[in-house]
Amino acid sequence: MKYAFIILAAVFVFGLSYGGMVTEISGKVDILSGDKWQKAVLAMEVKTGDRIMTGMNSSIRVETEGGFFEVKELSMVTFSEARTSSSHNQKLTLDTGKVRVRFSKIIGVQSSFKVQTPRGTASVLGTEEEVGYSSLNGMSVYVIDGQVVAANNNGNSLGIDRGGHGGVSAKFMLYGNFDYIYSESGGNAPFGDNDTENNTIKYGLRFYLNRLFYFQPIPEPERL
Amino acid sequence: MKIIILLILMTAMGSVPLYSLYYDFTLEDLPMMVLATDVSNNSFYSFYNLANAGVKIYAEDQAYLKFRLKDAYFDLYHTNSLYVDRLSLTYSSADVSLLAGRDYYFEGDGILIGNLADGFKASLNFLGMSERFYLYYSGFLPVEINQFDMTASDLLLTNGPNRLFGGLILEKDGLGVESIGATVLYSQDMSSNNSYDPLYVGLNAKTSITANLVSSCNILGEFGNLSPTNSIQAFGGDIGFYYLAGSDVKYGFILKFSAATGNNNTNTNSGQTYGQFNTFGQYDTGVVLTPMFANLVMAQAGAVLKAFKDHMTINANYYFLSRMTTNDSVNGFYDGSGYSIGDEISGRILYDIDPDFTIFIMGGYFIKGNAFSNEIPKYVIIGGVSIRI
Repeated sequence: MKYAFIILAAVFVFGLSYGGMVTEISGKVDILSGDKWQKAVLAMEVKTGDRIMTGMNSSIRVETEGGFFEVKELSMVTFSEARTSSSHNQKLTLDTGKVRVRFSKIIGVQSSFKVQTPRGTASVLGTEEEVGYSSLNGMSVYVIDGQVVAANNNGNSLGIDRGGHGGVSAKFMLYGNFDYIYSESGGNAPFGDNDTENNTIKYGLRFYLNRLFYFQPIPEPERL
Repeated sequence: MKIIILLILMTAMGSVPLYSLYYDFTLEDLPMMVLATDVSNNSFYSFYNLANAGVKIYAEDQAYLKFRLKDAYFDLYHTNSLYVDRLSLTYSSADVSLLAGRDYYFEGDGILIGNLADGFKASLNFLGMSERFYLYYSGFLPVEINQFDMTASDLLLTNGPNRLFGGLILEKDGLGVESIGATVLYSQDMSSNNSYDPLYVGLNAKTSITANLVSSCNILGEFGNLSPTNSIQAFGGDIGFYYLAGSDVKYGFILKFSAATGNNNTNTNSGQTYGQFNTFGQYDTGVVLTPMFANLVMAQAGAVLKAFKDHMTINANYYFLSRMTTNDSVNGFYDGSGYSIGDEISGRILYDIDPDFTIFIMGGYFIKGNAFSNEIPKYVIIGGVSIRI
């Protein structure tokens, strides 16, 4: 809250253009500002276009107008914002890893906070969320509070409510809370390349026992 | 021999650039012991081994070629089979996703589409909805993995059933639920066997009741021709509820009810309408008996536990199985006169000790009902490991 007040005061009194301030750091975090990588330190400004990279067991929290974002371990993000007299739009471009965002609508202007990944975008609608991205699994969204709209790159979108999961798969397929719960609870169809998960063992045995049996009955000595 | 040397060299090199391409090469072995009852209710045990040699060649991030050779050895019959079980090309972009070749073609829980086949799938995202087009064929599959048999006479086909499928699925997000889908699928029997040419139409709805509880519903109609002079008019469907909670340790429950109509028409003359619902998908009906989703009333209650960062999964299920009618005119699977097929208790424990080493045990115990002429229980227990390099 103290940092938010300092940011607001700086913006209104001095007309500064920076979008955030570092308030917490854990482990090794670097920020690319301009063309120079530097070690992140407390109270450091994070400006539009700055790139943040976190190492193993490392994280950083940046307070922004309207809330904060946390970059989790082994992540790479770029912060950007577009501000006019009537609007204030902030965006994190997540190349890999995970971020947590808390954002409340800014009073008096049209405001938004988006997390963009190569597979899709999560728009925070006055709430708190975690967004992860990897090229293997695509974009995953977990809504801690409020509501988030997840959209794939061709514009199809899906609302995800508090406590819900969703995202965009590596194959650009949009999925919501149903698909997450359905899959994790074991309801999903056992199809895929993993033979311990798919039907290969079960139906392989069915082949031997149902089909082959008619042509080649089990030899007596093999029975229990 | 040259191929084996090449495979060994590729394994030794691991994942390396191949000119401008990249590839991942995997060798996997799954040795297992099976303890079970056969179709004559005799107990047996056998060593069962699956071995995979696969390669994925990436042309770019979302375009790749998949190839996998599989060897299956079943010691009881001393049979060894070597075949290609994956040979496919995949391409994905924001608007279009394509799959061509031998791979799994499936939708949802596999109630209608859920098979390994040779074919083509196009997934499009236009007009604010998802469109998925399927065309797949079973005739090129080795008999060991051809799961398209339906009638008893299909089992006698030396090379397995020979069927062609074409279908379209339209799915729209929103509309009051999480998504609604409509399906049309036609199957043509290409073998010289008595033809079974169904046309399926279906509706599917998926929704979140709460953040932890979701539900899905399928309603399917089956029409078309049976042994050209008779027709099919049958129905099937299911409704399921799925619950999941926890973060570090996740636990969940499944409650599912499914029904597929049977045939009340005992008239075998031509020009008749038969009411038994059949699909070619691999719908989950348990582990031991695994009856087809036909002339069936099924209730499933299950629980799942995931621990150690999802490295361990434990599933337990109970299945109640009953016939809808006592007349199984198409399959002739049961030799008793009653409705009750039986009850199954089954489970599975899977533990990924390492990304390349998994230990697993699965099994089930089936108590027969009066749809069978004998009450001898059936069971299966499979235990083994998966080792990948």
